[in-house]
Amino acid sequence: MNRLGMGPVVGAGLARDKEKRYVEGGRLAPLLRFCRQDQVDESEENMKTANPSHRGNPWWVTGLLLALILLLHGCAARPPAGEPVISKPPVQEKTAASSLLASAHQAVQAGQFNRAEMTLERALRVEPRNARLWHEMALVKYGQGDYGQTVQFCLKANSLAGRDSALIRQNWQLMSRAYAKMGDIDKAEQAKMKAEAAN
Amino acid sequence: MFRKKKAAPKKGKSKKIKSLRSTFIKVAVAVLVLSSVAFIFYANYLDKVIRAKFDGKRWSIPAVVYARSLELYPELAFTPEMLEEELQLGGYRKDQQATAPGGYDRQGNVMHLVTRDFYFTDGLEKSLGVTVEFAGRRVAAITRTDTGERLSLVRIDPARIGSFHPREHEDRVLLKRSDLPDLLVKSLVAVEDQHFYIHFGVDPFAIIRAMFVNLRAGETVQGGSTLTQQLVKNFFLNNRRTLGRKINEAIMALLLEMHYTKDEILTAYANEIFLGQDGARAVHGFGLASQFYFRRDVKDLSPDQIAMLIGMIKGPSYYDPRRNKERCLQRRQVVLDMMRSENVINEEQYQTAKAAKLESSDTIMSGFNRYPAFLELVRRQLDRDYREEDLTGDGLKILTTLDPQVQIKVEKHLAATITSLEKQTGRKGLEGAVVVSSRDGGEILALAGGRHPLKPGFNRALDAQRPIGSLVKPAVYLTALANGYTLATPVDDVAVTLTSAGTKQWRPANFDKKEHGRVPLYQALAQSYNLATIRVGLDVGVEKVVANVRRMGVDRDFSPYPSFLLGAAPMSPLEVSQMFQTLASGGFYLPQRVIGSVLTADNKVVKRFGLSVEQRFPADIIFLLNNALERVVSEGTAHSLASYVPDYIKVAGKTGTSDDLRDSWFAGFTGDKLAVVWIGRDDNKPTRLTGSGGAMVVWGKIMQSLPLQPLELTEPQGIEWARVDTASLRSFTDYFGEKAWLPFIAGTTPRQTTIARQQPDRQAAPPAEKLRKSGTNLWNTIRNWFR
Repeated sequence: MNRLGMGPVVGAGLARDKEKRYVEGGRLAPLLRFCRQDQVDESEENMKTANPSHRGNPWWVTGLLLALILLLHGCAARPPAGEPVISKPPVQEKTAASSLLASAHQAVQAGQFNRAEMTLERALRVEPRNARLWHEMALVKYGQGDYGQTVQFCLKANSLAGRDSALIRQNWQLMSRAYAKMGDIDKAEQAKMKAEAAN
Repeated sequence: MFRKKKAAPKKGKSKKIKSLRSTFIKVAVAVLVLSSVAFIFYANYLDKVIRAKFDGKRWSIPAVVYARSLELYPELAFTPEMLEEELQLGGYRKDQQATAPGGYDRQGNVMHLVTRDFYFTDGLEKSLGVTVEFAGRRVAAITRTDTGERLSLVRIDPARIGSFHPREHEDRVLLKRSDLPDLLVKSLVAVEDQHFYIHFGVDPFAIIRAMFVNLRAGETVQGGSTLTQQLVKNFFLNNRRTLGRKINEAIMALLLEMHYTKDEILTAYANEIFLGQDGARAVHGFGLASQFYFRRDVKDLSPDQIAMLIGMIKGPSYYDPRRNKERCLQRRQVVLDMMRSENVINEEQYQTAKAAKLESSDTIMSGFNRYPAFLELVRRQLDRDYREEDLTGDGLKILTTLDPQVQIKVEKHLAATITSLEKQTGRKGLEGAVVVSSRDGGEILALAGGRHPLKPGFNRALDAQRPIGSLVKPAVYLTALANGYTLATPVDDVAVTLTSAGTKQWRPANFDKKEHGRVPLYQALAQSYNLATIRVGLDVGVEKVVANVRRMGVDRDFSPYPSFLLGAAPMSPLEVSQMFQTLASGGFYLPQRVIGSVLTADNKVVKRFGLSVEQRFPADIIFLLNNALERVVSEGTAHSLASYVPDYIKVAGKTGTSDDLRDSWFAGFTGDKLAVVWIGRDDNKPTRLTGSGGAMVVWGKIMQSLPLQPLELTEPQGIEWARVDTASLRSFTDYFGEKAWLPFIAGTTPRQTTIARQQPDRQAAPPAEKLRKSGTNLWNTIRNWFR
């Protein structure tokens, strides 16, 4: 039972597809997550790794209606009755880069930084302009104790981050720690300030 | 006690005879002893020679070089044709069942393949049966053939692109005794040396029999050499068939048999025997020969294939299946007859084998070391980091960055374009070089050292030192942008005279011999104006420009003369590539890599060349410069590139022409690749080609034939866009009527400009019009609220 006392969604299979749709659509996702805390796990996984290429699909009319319903009634977890299921092709569970990234994370957790580095290099061949991957590489370099390269990879990640201020902040924070490790207190302070300024 | 009273010896004659006889005996004995000693010493010497050669050969296994491993994933731009080409390069065989590792089958847009086990740097990638579906020139889906499970990625074992003995230039696929199939061994013995297991190195019966046969035939039909003798002959590979040589070989064969077992000798034979010529390279050994002639491992050879190879032993060129099909076939049938009569094969095998067709020439892998120019770079990098002794160690595996898809296109288009350029200019003798690397990784994907890839000799990509001409200008303008200039700063493209003590006056000129007056900086770069460049360069200081060129990764000393500003300094295409790599990667120095890692024969990592970066220039300045380089292509000297590469790719590049049109250069990058092309003549005479007329055409044709990724320059923080007012400049109309929206570092935007409220869409009209457009679309606006 979720917070608002709405019963579990009937017809698990059917509802799962629709739920997936709304989750994938992304627009109502935060609201849904908020409402359906106990059934969120799998869909969150999908959220992280799904290929969000469903912009422009024609269900936004329904979305609009739902938005109005939401505003009036709080959370709506069930789709309007009688709504036909629009079958979509199954979503790619993971992209090549994200599965390599997951593998790199596993390696880091096992303390195998060299393996993580090699896996990230493979990921970077697939998506060379992905700022997050460069940041992950910086983290691996930090784990390897190569603080000079940690800074450089963070700079590279920043150069590709565009307007992703969250990532930019993370990069400056990591640079600050790396500078501190190298004993360069001035640069560490400057990086810290840049991290705070990044918004 | 026997005592005989001797008559007193007659003095004189008998004494003389006796002393003569004893002297003679003594001398004879001495000679015998001496010659035995001499013989022993000689035999010892031969022994040492043979041991050194044999042991040396047995233990030194060549290093094997691999291309990059292909990783397939959905959405990757790849076609079934490309995959088929890649697999064939890797020695995969078309096999309708496609069940064994190394087999593949194609049905239209669907490929089934079974990858082979391979030990990468990060561990073993096990053999896997996969099905790859293609759609619209991309990979659509990848699934496991057995379970249908979808895969997000599949890594295919890399293709062998060559091998080298660091000391010699021979190829081997070394086999152990257990690798030799029984049928091969039995057939070899049956055909070449029936008493192999019995004799002690030399087979006198075989020699006698051969003598009789040859006398009867009137010519040399049969040889009496044992496998051991043949092995010795192969070791030393000399053509002098004198009696002296034959005796030497006989002695060495005996010595060999004394030191080594039959199995060892047989294995060495199987690895040494000369079985053909492939261009400049010799094919030695059954391992390599079965790959070369049949694209298969020696254990997969059929009886007729074994017979063909054994038949070739007597004369690999004489019985060459590529050139002398009939002879080769006949010889094979003779060998099959012998195999049958010695009962090595039964009647059924015999009939099948006799009926089998000779392998077609297509299967034969020409140029086993197919990319010698690239391999040369690999060797140099290894030489730089390793001593020769380390390299001879057993069977190193070298995983490189070569992308065969790119290399194939580079070779094809370089050769074809040079030929057509020669026709166009009416003069022969053009040569070229190409270096392609990945934009953000700095991995060398392809390298061409000349228009004839298989011709050994001068590797122009690495060693041709040619003036880079206008390719130096990006460095000049980079220095300017870092010293107070903006893309809109007016610069004067007017005559300048330079004098320095002790030399003549220098009055440089533009290519079109005109002066263009006051122009914005970006235009001076886009149009490659010499006069403006010199003025700017002298203003910021030639030393600064030189320092920046070095900072971009060119490890050379340059004299800071003004002529440097017009590219008088020579560099190799590879150095130019490294220089532009720093621009392509957004200001980060990225040491270009050609080797990924080196593994030992038992797959332990010897060395890994990992990714490393170093920010050498601020991102915002590089952004401005790269923007200007895009304009070189969209409106400047490289505008005819549009005939090959569509506008929306937004290539950033620079043409280069040196003095008197001796060197034609083009360097440019797209979303994922950087390529540098040089065209010129080895004798350094003028080519009659400009950068855009020669090298750029090659560049365009190569890129056109590869999947293209549009260039997106990620805008760093602190950039403003503005439209520059014409009032401050003399002539300010872009060639194609576009409004010049230029980026500026915040705070440097010149007065008299309109600052955009947001970064404009580079394809569309200025912002004001854009807002008007979207204002009419209510639904879009509402939808935007939900984004």
